[in-house]
Amino acid sequence: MTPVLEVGGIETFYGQSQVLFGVSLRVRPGEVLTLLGRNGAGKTTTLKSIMGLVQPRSGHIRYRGREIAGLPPHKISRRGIGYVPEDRIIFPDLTVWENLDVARRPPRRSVSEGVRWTEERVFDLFPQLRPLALRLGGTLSGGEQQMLAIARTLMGNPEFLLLDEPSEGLAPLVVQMLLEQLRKLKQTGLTILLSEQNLEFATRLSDRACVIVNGQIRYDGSMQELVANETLRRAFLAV
Amino acid sequence: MIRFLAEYFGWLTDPSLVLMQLLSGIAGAMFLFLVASGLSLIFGVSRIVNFAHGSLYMFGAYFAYTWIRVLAGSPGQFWIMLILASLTVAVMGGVLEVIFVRRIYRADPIFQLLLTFAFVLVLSDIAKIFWGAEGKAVPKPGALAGSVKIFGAPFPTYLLLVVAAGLGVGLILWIVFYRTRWGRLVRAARHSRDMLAALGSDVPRLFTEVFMVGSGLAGLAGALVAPIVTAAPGMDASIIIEAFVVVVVGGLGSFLGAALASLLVAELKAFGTLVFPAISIVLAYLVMAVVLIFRPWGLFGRREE
Ligand SMILES: Nc1ncnc2c1ncn2[C@@H]1O[C@H](COP(=O)(O)OP(=O)(O)OP(=O)(O)O)[C@@H](O)[C@H]1O
Ligand SMILES: [Mg+2]
Repeated sequence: MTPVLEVGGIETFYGQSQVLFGVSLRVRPGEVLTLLGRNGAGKTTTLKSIMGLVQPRSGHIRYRGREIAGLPPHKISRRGIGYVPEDRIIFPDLTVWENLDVARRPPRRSVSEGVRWTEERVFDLFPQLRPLALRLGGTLSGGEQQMLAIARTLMGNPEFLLLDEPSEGLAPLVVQMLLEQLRKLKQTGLTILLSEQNLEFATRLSDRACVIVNGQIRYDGSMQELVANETLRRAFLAV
Repeated sequence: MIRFLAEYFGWLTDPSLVLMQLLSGIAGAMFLFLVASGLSLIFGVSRIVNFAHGSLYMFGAYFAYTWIRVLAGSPGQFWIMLILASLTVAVMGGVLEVIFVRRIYRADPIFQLLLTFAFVLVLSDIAKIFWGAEGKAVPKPGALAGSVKIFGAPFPTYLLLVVAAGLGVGLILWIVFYRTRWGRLVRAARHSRDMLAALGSDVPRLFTEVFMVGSGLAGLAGALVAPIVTAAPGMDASIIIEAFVVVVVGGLGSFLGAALASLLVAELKAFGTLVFPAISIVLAYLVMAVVLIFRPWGLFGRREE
């Protein structure tokens, strides 16, 4: 199967310090691929490189067969890639509805009528946001902000989602809820690249995993195999 | 003591004089508000402290002179001139943004200050080349040349127009900012341009638009003030200092703050002139100093996280 997204040997730097050393990964249509790794391993940097928020110095990034490395973030977004950052970055002095509105984008032609996102559909997926529509983004709880961050990105009708540690810092009950909502999203056919440290969360959502260690991919295979293999887990993850 | 009071505050016994000062203070506040709100709008989004904003105001006045001459004789020339002068300055701001400013958004603030300060020097020379060192007078529109009686005291009709224009533009700004999608995008960009771009907005274009709108406001203020003060070198420096006082007192990025601080600064100037003519502007600096000590983020600004 041809991958939706193909990252090949990217090297990314912050100033002089190199963070990614030839990261490669392929995401297949309709799957959830989890990028696992300890703190500081380079998960966020990988997602930001794909989104064009940091520019890799070398390597290629192909989305649906076309090179996107070097494009500005808004063009990458308009190709159909949605990004939900680790720190959520809700616009604090915009209301929940306004946060959704600024992200509204007409769907690309490839998106069929049935899966177009509107406020209504977003509120159906995240019912807890509906009564908060007129509240300022800055007044939401962490869980509500995470849901709004995902909902907001959906308003751009992405076909591919970059999700950076959505479960981070959330209460177990909220994580549970989020998991269900993300599963529903997966069922709509959305392809997801998920960055996680929470192995349990990742297992319940995804089929394949890549493990990143100090800016290099050290495992690329099935989720089950990774979970089953304790030496592998011990070697690469803090679990 | 009585002598002192009589000497400095005697005017208080003359209500029509007090009213006059109050009204001309309000009119002065409108120019300040137009300039300061543009300055504040641009800073809020781009984090650029644009020293050249006063130069754009000065160009507004010069373009008022030029457009009036181009339009001479055509009906409604004054009103058309106001629009054309604002648009011309808006385009100027847009050109500066596209060619220069957008290269330095992520640079050290000191380089940003240097660049906009360079604009001040270059623009003031360009103005001298095109319009000379002499002041250029712009006639008031015939219908507004006289004065009206307000509680028995004569008040220039033209200043009433200025007040109306200031209030009108303030209202439009509020609507655009809080009731349109463009306004929502601008408010979002003030928080995180990267996030907004990742959500698919063409942020570089939005920044250019913001620069154009902010510059156009300065241009409108300059065009409106031209019939009162004549367009002349030096306008740029005097307004930018007062606009900075307004923005610091009101809080950068706050329209309401800019409006109220404009009123405060302009009234201080108007009444200060009656009491201590020589140091009336000092009063405004004093207020600024006090605000900086006790509320460095301004009366209506938000404390930076
Ligand atoms: N803006 C930056 N400037 C310099 N170094 C950075 C910057 N952002 C991240 N780094 C460094 O790059 C490395 C990878 O960071 P990254 O944020 O990609 O890790 P991560 O896997 O997402 O970690 P976490 O699980 O904590 O989110 C770290 O060593 C980090 O200190
Ligand atoms: Mg991270």
